[in-house]
Amino acid sequence: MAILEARGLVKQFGKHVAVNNLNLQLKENECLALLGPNGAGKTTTLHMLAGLIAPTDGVILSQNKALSRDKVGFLPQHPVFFNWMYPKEYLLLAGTLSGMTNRITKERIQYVLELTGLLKAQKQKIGSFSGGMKQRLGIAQAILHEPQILLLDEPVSALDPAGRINVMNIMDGLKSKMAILFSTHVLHDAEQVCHKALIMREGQGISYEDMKEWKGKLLKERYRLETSKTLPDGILRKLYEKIEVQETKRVVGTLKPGITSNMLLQSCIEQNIQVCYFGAEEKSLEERYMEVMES
Amino acid sequence: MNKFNALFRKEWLEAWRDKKLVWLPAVMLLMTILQPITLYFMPAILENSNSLPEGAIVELPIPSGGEVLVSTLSQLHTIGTAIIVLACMNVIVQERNTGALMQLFTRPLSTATYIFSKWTMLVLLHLSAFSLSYGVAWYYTNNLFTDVSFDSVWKSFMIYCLWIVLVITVTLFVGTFLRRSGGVAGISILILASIAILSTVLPDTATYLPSSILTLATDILEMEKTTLHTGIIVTTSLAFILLLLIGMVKQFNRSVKF
Repeated sequence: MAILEARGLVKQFGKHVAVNNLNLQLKENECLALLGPNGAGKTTTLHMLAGLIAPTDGVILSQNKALSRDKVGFLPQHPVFFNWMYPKEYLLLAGTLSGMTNRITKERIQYVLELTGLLKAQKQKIGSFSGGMKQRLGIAQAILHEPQILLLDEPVSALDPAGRINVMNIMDGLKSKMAILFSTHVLHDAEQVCHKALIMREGQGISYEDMKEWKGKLLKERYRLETSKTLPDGILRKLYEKIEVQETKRVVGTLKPGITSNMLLQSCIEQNIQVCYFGAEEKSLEERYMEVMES
Repeated sequence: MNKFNALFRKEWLEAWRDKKLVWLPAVMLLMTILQPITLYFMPAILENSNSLPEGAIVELPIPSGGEVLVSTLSQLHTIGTAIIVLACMNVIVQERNTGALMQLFTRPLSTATYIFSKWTMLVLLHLSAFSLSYGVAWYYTNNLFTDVSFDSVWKSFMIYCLWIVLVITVTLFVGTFLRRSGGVAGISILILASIAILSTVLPDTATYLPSSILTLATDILEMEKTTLHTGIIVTTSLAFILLLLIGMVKQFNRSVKF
């Protein structure tokens, strides 16, 4: 049963349709990335799921019942805190607003601060936090009340490389405890954390991708070959069925049926072409994304 | 109730760290205390100013204690109202504009709890500041001029509190509509000024409205009695405040909060 399900979600702002008939399913402990260009409706979708704005049409369910806000933890795109507060004060306020008792909140605060690596920063006011620290505090407040569903709006877009890796690692650790839905336009990040992705365009979900599935399927078919000398075109045409990338010393494509990778290597050796790199090529999410976007 | 308490405590903590808890009572105190003191030293001030021709004799009637407190309240009515509006204009607007509000509302929190926590805190803060400064003004008036009875001071205090609560409520109400603190201050003062002006434009109707709060309070101070209908004025003021509070919650629920 889906822990989070949206059926026929529509959001209109005046005449502008931000989200148009979106369907979405998230199972327990599943991680789903929401992809799409700016303005595709990712943030609006997350705001509706988090209960911040009411959908114009459609339903949001959890295990076939109306979704309760206690189940959801949400990290906005730009987390904003009260700058004059200390992190513990903010988390205590957040915990109380989520209906937690003081004792439990204090225990959880210790835990989430440790998890997000903010224990050392608790003597600092939030106003002096760096962007990365604020993002981590944002995650801390989102998971404070042990939600079953974690919604993250562009959790890593505004961070430097170190901060990004940091946040990605935290997300990786949370994956086993809760269902995660996060939006991003950095496809590489989506690939690292998630197995599934929903690609959005103009408010609609246009493609649902299971990365595990097509990685396994496509692994054997595509080969990348890099050589030190220019590859003669004739050989390539004979062996490759479809060539996707062809540069003077580099080629990626699928082989003809009946032709094995060894035969490709052999013909290189026969021609006395030095092979620099040879390997099966995984299809990257980026290529798939471009494919979907252009279709 | 826990949620209300948590937010209420947050408001006080914020006021303390902002030092609003210090400057607001200080400004109010300064304003009310100046009135009896300048009135007391007025003859000396005039004598020492060089603008008078030589030989001029300054003879001012010494005002009674009641009259001094009346002028104190009138002073507060103009400048004090503006200060209260300025102190309250940012309260909702700022949190909404920065996005801190949105983050609070990702949790199960009702609009009414949020607004009442702010309103209650502001009312308590301003009323304590007012009682402190009014009390000090009374003390100086008794020392420098004739005594004013506690009874009339107490009554005028209670009645004038209504005006302060009204000012706070109007400002918060406008704050739920507009997103710019300057606009909030402008519109609030416009509304409050129109209420005050009613007593000259429609004197007959205004005797039943909050417009007469100041007159009522000063009547009590000067004559210990009033020709106005105290009960009706209190009722209409409270009704107006209640109406604004309900409207505020309704409007805030409907509007986009971020």
